[in-house]
Amino acid sequence: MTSAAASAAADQALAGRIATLMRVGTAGASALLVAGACLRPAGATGIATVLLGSGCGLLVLLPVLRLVLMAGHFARLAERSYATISLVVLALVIAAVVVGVMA
Amino acid sequence: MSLGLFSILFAGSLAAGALGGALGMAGGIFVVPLLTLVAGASFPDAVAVSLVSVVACSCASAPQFLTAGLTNLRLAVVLEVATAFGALVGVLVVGAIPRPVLYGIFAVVLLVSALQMAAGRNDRGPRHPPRQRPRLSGAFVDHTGRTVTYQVVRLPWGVALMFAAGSLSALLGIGSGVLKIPAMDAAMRLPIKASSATANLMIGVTACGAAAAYLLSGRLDLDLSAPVVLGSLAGSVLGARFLVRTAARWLRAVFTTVLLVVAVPMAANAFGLHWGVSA
Repeated sequence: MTSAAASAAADQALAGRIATLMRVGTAGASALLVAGACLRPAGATGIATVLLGSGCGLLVLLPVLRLVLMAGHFARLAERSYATISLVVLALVIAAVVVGVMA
Repeated sequence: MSLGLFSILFAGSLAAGALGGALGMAGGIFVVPLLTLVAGASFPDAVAVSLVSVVACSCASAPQFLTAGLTNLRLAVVLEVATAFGALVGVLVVGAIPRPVLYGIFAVVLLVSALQMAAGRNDRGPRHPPRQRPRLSGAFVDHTGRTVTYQVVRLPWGVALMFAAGSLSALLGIGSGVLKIPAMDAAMRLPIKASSATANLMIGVTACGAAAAYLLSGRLDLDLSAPVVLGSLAGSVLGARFLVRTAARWLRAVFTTVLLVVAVPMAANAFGLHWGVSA
């Protein structure tokens, strides 16, 4: 197998891992949101707020986890440029969160 | 929140998510008017909820595209440098730019993008072929079983457009897939399914920073989020399945129509008519 073909196969495996992360993450977030939406009208406001916040938080975390997966993947392949790019994107996202919270 | 309003927001978000998912977009451009007009939410509240729904749409429809081999991961992360930087700038300047100016710029971008889509790619070939990026090239199997290979060209153009898309995402609460897809299809000459799938994945990273900021600072309305995010999740899964099965020409026609339709309220907002969004 050539180097390019090996990289392509490794990238497809990464795509599979990201797909699993997204499936599991969105299923978990959906469960939290459904539970929160059901408990809110029943009067359990505190628990409902925690569940709804956790559901939204889990969703927002998924793209960040995807970037961590990609950085690790490219680091394992010794592709420093793509690993660095992934970490730069991660840093920019974190900077946006910090700036947005402080605004 | 009443059961009736919950149902309306869920159904509306489902429709927005399905349409967005089928086009590789996130449907945020429909969620903001839904929240301001139907639920009476303020514009900042609608933007916050819309950003979370945008992330939800991206995450829910991504597995379908990834397993179908449509998503170009390397291209996505390269372009995300520009979108994430654009989103950071958007978060920094939000509130300083008059909203009608933003709507006006966006309406023009939508119209130009629609014209590009309607015209299709003109593959006569330039006199001097633009520089190609072999490491960013990709391939996928289309709906007829044919393997489609492609090269990425005009990367600087794509990066510039992605920066603008990232800024608009943070400012207007949209995924800006409506700008990302024409950038990848028309500027970088990617096949429309690859551009749609790759843009879909990028939308999540573009919107998650601003969305997390709203959530962590307590400015996210969780009551509104539940029906909108759940509807968006369900709709985007349905839409993604539709995209994988649909021929590119048909998808291009639908996409062009949506661009033109969305441009009307955006242009109206630029002139102070407040279509779809509150002032």
